[in-house]
Amino acid sequence: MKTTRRRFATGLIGLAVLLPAAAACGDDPAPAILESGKPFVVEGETIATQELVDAAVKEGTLTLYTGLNEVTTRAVNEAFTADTGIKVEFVRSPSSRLFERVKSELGAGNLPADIVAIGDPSLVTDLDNSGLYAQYKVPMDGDLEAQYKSKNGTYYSFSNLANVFAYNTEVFKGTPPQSWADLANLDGTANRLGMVQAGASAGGWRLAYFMRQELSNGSDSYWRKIAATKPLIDTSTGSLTEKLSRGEIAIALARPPEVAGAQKDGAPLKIVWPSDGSPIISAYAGVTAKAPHPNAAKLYLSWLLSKRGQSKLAAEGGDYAIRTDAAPPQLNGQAAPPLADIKAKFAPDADQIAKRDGWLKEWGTVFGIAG
Amino acid sequence: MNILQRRRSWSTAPVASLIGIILLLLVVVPMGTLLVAAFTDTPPRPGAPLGNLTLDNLTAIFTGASRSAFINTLIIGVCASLLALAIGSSLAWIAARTDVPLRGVVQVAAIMPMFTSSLVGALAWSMLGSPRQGYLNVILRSIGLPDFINVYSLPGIIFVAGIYYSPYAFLLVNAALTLMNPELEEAAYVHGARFRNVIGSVTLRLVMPALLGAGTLIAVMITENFPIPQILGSPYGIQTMPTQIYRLMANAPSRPNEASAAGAGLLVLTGVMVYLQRRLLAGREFTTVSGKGFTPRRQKLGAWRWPAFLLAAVYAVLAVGLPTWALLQGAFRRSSFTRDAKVLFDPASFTTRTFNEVLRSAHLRDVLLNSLMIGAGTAIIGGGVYLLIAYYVHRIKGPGHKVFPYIAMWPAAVPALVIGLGYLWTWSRVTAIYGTLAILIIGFIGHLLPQGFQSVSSSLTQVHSELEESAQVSGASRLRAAWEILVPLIRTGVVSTMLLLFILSMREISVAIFLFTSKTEPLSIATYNTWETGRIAPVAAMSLIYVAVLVVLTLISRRWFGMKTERST
Repeated sequence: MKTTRRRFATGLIGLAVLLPAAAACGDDPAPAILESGKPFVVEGETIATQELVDAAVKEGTLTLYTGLNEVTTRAVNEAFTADTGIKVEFVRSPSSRLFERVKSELGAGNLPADIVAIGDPSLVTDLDNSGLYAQYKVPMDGDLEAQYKSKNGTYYSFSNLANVFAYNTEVFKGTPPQSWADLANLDGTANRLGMVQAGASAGGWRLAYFMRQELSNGSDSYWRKIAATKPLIDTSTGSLTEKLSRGEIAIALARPPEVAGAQKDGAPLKIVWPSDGSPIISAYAGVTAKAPHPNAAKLYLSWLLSKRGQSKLAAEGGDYAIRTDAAPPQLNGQAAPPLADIKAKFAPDADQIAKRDGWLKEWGTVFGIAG
Repeated sequence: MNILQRRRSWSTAPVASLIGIILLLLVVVPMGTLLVAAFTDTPPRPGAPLGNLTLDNLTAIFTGASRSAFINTLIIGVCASLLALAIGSSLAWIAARTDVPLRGVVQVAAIMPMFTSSLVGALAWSMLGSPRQGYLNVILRSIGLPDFINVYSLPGIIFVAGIYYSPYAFLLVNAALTLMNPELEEAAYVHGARFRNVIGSVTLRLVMPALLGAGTLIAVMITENFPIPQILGSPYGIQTMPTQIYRLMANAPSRPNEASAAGAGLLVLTGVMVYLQRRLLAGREFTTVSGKGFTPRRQKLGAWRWPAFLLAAVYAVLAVGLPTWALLQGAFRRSSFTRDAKVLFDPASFTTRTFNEVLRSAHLRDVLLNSLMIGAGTAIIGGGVYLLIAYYVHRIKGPGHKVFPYIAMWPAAVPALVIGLGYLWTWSRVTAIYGTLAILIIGFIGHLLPQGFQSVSSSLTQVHSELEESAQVSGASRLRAAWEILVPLIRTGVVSTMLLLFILSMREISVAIFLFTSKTEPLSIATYNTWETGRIAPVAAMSLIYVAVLVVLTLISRRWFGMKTERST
């Protein structure tokens, strides 16, 4: 305690003197793998040609706009910088707020982003139609499954974000539900459920779509069962996880990276992989058409889709890779089950886009959330 | 007077146009764009064609659940403002006009909550007072009492908003009371009036402009406050207009047009409040600082000295002590889960790991530097701009001086989140400014205009213009009269306004949310982003660091803060 205080006091005094100097220097970890004047090859996979490497190194930095969670974003960016020596600046914002910003900056011709990553099929399609993305084919394009590529070659899906249950082991009374079928019979008074508003994030919508399309064949019966448990309806997965950690709710529809982060901080949480399947949200990214650092951006996207980048995403970012040659995510030191074992549920983009606006409105009525 | 009036007429035009341009860029264009959005069907983004005219956005905000949000907003606005005014002005009177023991402590207690943003305050109180798991409830249960505290309720929101906004009432009323000539009160006593008559018929009436100014300002700020109802109300089904607006903005598909319409609805509400305030004050004279000197006099409290102090102490515990303790729990405890009351006090359940991690990160250093620069920029440039406008409105009184105060109050009515959107839409074309710290500073100066203008104005209106006029009659120029007479008299007020601006801009989240970049991210945004990741420990740690930085800075600048003891003894 005492050292902390002293360190803190010294820190404050030193702050005014050191800040400008320190900010100018920055952290500069030595490039681990990438070398100028050579193609960028890791474990036999070519990530970039020599020309792209040299041009990207010359740019030295790139800016990422992302709607993905902070834990994963930070881990992936740090791994990329460690591998290439290229710095990544990023702005993180929930998808729809990010969308508004990108649209406005794009319209003003003042968009500083080199890469825009967003987690909602409707939003990425709208942005793509507005001319946000450049055509770019990564070197490993041929190795990727068709479902992860955009039709017109402008963006890729780079991660499979799984949805799970997480419960507080100190608060949950009785046996936690093991499946979506169990969840529908939850006693909401004894064990309050928390979930995110359907319209608040890509994840909220994906769950709403999953419950209706895949659990009740297009009717709202599953929604009504869940609504009957009187769930707490939050605006972000983060604040939901925080409430679960504190024990204000007993169980939540959550995402593994956030749960693992809370576990690391000592929260008594446990993940349940529902036995009847885990709905998957896709995360999309592409190089912007007027990127200030187009080469660094291309290198980033290629690295992200390489085996190397995908393995880092899973191992350090806590989300599933889209490539089968990358290992399952590491969650707080433990390996998550392989994607093949969690009955991953994918949903076609076109159907999601077609049904979204109407269903969101009806979701609001069923769950008593207007606006 | 004729000479003075002639002097005025030739000098006003350039000043009036300068102020006009400033208000145009800061308020009229960004907020006007929002008004356009309220009446069209597509967002007025740069480069996009103007949408079709429609009234759908307006009708949408007055139907269904939006109506209950409107009613909740009114209830919270009125009750929390009254609570804040009651706390702030009693503490101001105790600190400025009585022989309360430990006056310095009372003053510090009254302004301390300002160092906490309402996001941090609401978060800390949700940790303390959530049903079942709130620390206070855990403690109550452990000593065999029922755990009755629930901040996730209308009274809970009113309580938290009331305690966090009372420092504004304190600052404005304290300034008025300190500058007030006690002769009038003494005259009342000489003529046999009792204490309560004097308080009611003299003191209260003299500080009425400050009280009403503070009341309007607080009511407007609470009405548009987003973090408190968002954290304490929204997940539990209590909606307010700002949380509705946030949902319209942050949910996909976002509906910025409806959000703008709701903003326009709040604008009408605020317009009415400002109008009422002006009606109440119209035609009355409130100048309390005149050419005559005075010696302040203090009310002897006798047996009530310590109870008066206790009032301040209880407030400090509720607004500062308990929340800080909650943040310490959040930052240093190994687990955010509270099994029983024992873990709250057991040394074994604490660790400095997260705190060290946060303190050492390069990210913290960058965002803190950004915040300090934004704060300083807003305080200095904003302070200058507000002083210019206030001086023009209250002294020069040239063309437009009746309209400018209304324009200056406009941003108060627009939820900060929507203001950010207005700036995004209108300023993103300006390449030299957009994406730099400058756009954040400009955004904050626009957003804080009502508070800043109100605060500078109340110092300015208290000094009678006869002081400068006599200098001008004796041959001094207007500028010299202002510099040598007005500036020393209002310096305290202006510097404390600038400090206020500094603090407010250091903690602002909503305006910045659309305007920050990775290089210009301030500490407040970094804290909010960390909260969105779901980890309470680093959020609590960052909040503590942020509070510590503000306390240190305020202590350094305290000698200009108008709280210095020798001024008031």
